[in-house]
Amino acid sequence: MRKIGLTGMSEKAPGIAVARCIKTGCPDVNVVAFGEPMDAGMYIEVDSSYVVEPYDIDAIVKISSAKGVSALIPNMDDDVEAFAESRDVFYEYGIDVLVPEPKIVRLANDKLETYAYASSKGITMPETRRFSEYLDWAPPYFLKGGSQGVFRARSIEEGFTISQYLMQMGEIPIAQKNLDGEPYSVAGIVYGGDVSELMIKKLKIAENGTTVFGVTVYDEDLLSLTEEFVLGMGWEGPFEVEFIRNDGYHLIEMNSRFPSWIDVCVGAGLNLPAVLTELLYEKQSEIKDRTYKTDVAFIKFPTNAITDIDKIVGMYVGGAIEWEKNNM
Amino acid sequence: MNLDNIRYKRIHERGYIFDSRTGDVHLLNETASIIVEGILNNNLDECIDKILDEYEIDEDTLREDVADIRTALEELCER
Repeated sequence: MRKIGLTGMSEKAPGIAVARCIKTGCPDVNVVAFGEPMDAGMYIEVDSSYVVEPYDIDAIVKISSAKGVSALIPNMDDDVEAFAESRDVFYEYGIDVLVPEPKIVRLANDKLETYAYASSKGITMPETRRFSEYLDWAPPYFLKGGSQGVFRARSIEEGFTISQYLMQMGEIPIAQKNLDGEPYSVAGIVYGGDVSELMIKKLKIAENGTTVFGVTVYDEDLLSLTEEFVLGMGWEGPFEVEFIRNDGYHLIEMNSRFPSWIDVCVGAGLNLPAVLTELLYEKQSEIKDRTYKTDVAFIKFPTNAITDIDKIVGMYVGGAIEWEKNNM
Repeated sequence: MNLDNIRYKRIHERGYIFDSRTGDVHLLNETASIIVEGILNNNLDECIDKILDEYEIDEDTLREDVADIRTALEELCER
């Protein structure tokens, strides 16, 4: 039996959507969730769930070895970096992970490095710098704080307040200038120098930067720009690159994993997490799937993971659940 | 006209054009919908007659609207 492990199983992270994609496209694959007891994705869409502390590679490796998990997909930016730094450990235990080298992951995760890299390659990107109280930009502008998300500062006072909050949360606030225009996003996989990707236009974005309404589109110019960017940096594995269209495309940021809207790719006919799963298990030696349907729209909605209280207590106490089909 | 990137559809009494390259949605009123259908189906003269029969609009104004819509549609297709 093929077993694949996923992280990022909270309602804020893409793991639940990735699990849904894999279940749809690879029904023979057993999906294993790694997360915390209050991550909703530990209770839905998966075959077994194991409690691990964030970035606890040793625990993930130990459980994966014991339970026959032979491939992993990290679905949070910090996980991707931790996995990249531990690639040798995973390979030693026969666990496949498709992530780039750590220094390349940092090109995506560190927004200042992204800006420096894009600028060096002549790819236009709004000015991005570390926030300081002496920042003299006219609002609005954006403040980014790692796992805390993206915030729009509409006044100098608001910018200062947001930066204080982010620092209290242990993040370094990064400021990015506002650029008006139409927002787009490209999700994809890089494998062996080849790219498969899908693009959306974001039609509505929540205050925290989450895309809540979008539609699949196809633009050769955006495709070429994305490929140039990810291949040029030597990327491997899943990615999301965000753009603004304003007299051409301007890079906004890159994420080192699938986005939370990734399950639209099932409706569009290019199930990227399933493609990645097949690549990891070497049923495909190269990317064959590239075409997808445009005009497929999605709307994000909150829902509840419903289970028995003893499952949640069991997760805290025992740290694991092997789901049976009639558990939910 | 290269229609590869655009899709026209009628929903109830109104049509809309979706540009699958940019994701832009152009919602049309009733008469504009009839005109676009006439252009796409190559029966524009019949559509013009239908509009003149059913709506209170003078022919010169209608023909100007038709020209504007055709130009806009061609620009969409060329992008």
